[in-house]
Amino acid sequence: MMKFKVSGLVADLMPNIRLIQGSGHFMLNYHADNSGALHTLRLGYCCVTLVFMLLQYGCNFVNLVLERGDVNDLAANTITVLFFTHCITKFVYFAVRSKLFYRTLGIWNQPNSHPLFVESNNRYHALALKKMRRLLYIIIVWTSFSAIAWTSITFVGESVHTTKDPENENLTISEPIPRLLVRAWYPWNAMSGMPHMLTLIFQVYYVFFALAHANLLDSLFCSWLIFACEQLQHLKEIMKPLMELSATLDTYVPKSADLFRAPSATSQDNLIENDYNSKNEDLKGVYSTRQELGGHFRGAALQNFGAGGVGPNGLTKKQELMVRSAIKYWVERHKHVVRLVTAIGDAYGVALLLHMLTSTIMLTLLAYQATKITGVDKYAATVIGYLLFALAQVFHFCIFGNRLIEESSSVMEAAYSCHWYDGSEEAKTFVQIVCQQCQKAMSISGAKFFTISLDLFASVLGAVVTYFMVLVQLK
Amino acid sequence: MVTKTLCLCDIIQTERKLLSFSGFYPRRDNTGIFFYFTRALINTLVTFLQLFSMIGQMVIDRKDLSKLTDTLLYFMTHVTFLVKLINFGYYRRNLLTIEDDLRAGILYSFSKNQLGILISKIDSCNMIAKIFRLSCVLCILFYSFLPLLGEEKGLPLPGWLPYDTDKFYYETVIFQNFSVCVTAFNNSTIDILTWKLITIASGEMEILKVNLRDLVHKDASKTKKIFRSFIERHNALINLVHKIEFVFSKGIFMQFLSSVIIICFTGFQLLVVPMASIQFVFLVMYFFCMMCQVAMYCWYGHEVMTTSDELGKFCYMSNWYDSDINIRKSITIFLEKTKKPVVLTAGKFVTLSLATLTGILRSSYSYFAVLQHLYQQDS
Repeated sequence: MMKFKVSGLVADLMPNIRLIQGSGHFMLNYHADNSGALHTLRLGYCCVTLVFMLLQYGCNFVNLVLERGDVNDLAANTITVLFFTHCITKFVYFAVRSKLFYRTLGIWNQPNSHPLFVESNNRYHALALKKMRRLLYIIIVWTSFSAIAWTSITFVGESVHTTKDPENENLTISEPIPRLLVRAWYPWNAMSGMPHMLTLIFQVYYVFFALAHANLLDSLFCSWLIFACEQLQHLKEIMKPLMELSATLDTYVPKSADLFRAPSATSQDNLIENDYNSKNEDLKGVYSTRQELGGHFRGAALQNFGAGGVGPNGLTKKQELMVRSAIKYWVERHKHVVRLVTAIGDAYGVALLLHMLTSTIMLTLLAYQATKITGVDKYAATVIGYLLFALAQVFHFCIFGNRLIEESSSVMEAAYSCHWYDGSEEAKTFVQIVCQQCQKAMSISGAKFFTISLDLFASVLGAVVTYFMVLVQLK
Repeated sequence: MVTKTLCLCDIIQTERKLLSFSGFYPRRDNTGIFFYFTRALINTLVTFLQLFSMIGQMVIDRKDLSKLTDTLLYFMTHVTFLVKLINFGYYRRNLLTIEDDLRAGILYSFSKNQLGILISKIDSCNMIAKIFRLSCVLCILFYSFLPLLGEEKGLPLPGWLPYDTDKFYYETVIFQNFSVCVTAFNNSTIDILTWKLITIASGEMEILKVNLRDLVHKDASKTKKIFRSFIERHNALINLVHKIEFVFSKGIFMQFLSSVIIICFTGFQLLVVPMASIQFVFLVMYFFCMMCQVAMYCWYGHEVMTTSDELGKFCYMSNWYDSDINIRKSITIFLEKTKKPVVLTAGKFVTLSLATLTGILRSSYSYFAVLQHLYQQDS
């Protein structure tokens, strides 16, 4: 078991993690006290949640089978079943692949650092944190609002369904059914009284937790992408000072001393001390400042001409080392981001594929249901609600996947727009290889079948609209 | 570093033996060439006879849709097999050059631990091959026993024969079973041979990726030599893939074309045939075999494409920033080459990838929907 020391992504995403644990997902790490009793308790809570979810899902499915006679009921029940299939899939997927999630969460535990770029790093880290929090708030508000809206719409209108009139085969009568959030079959009579109240409460719990399961995992995925994008922004920003720094190796640069001063509000001399460079077991070859420059280091370099320094600017040996290590820092940090994105893709790719599969079928059926809207009533509200929710879920991860693609391909622009022509030969070859690598954008793919981008969302939306138009014409 | 514990040629040993048995694998020497030639001739003759009989049947049945699709199904499979066989026969000399390439030392310059990567890929390919062969065998068994278990004395394969089939019933059954065996045997062996060769290429590329990532750029002259060997290996692998494509590409193209039609018609037959019958089970097995064939081509082609795509990324993951300027220039040129992934195409027309597979399935489904509509109109 892991020692409980929050760092890296786990520390940043602690609210997400706590919410995910609270909703019953099988995330059993990241607790301070992981003794046998508490662990069993938490495991028991997760299993109980799983059992409840599956039971209610089973009841929904049985109801689908029982009501398959009527086409309208069949369509409506299929949509409900598909909707909750997706939520259950996310729940089970996490339980089965939790190792990959832990690995992704642990990837940023020991990032490298460089004294000259600490300020930029911290700034973008804070920016990422702010965005992740904001996303989490939006998701919480959206999920709660959806659950509340679902509950309230249950109490609007009549709670009936149409069946064949037992006396006359050609007519249909409306028969009352229990006033519940989702139509389900129960072995007890849930029409009124205490059973009805209890069933209603159980269904409210079910709907809220099912929505939470799906949305919280998606928000975890998007938070990872936000973090990766902010890291890429950081790398783009330090490209220019990196070039200027490397220029000091072969060309005369006036006031080169300023380049070695780390831009920080509280400029201290001991710039290397930080918590990040502890011993790392997972990532060999990750640059560690302390090993390279050894302990204390004077940030503000002194430009001594004729004091036997290196190169036309008379750099000291330590300064020269600092320049070379800056390039190393950049590349290692970029490689680390690539590793993070690969891990995210491995962890979540299949879940996205399954999501798109269920969403496609569900949206097709919803387009069919939408053609039967006759006016502003409960039916219209539920169909539109389902549609908006499903599309919003797809939009949620598409927009962040798209941002990742844009950010990673813009690194090349940043590399080109920095004054690379002033840099040393070494820096020029560095820019060349970086440009090569960054031409191909980093993207998340749904198990290699499709890429997550706004194109995907546009095609989904386009397909729904097309089906709707065609079906309206056919009526 | 050089390990000769595994010879890459041994991987395709089974397929080589099987195809030599039926007389189609190219031989380096001319011993026993007469019997070899006769075996090939027998196989080809049987196949052509069966083909002509099916064409006859189709001409007779051209008005009735469900009977026509029944014959068309097996006809398409047969035609595909014939095209693949002719293509294989035409290009069989190139297989010997591929074998020679597989024995070249450059493909063996990796350490023992990395051999595990290749072995695991080969093992999974072997397992797929076993499942595929097993389902083919089951299909053949169903072919043979289907008419015997049915009520009327039907023939296993639909076909027009110039004599009265009732008089020579058992002889005809034996002949048709024999032709089915020949088809399935050779067809599956050629497919598995292609898959194994493609797997060897993608396995070697995986090893190259790991080597690139773990390369430590410290000592300039040593790194230069090692990197040079990597580039040579990369070139050898690209050549290998191009040679494989040259030999098998036209056959694969025919396979894709007919797979669309075959999957569509099998699906249609599944609709027509009553569910609780032996024929239904047989059709399901047949459907599985056909799907497996086309899906495996697409899958292994996709593997090579994605593996070669990642070469650049893995080269970037090494500590190239510590390297000499000369090596950096070599790295740059190498990265330029890896930008374009190594793809296998079918007849230079369509690439083997999962995207093609979805395209094939989608076309099959549209044709199936049209057929179903026509059938409902007829009945």
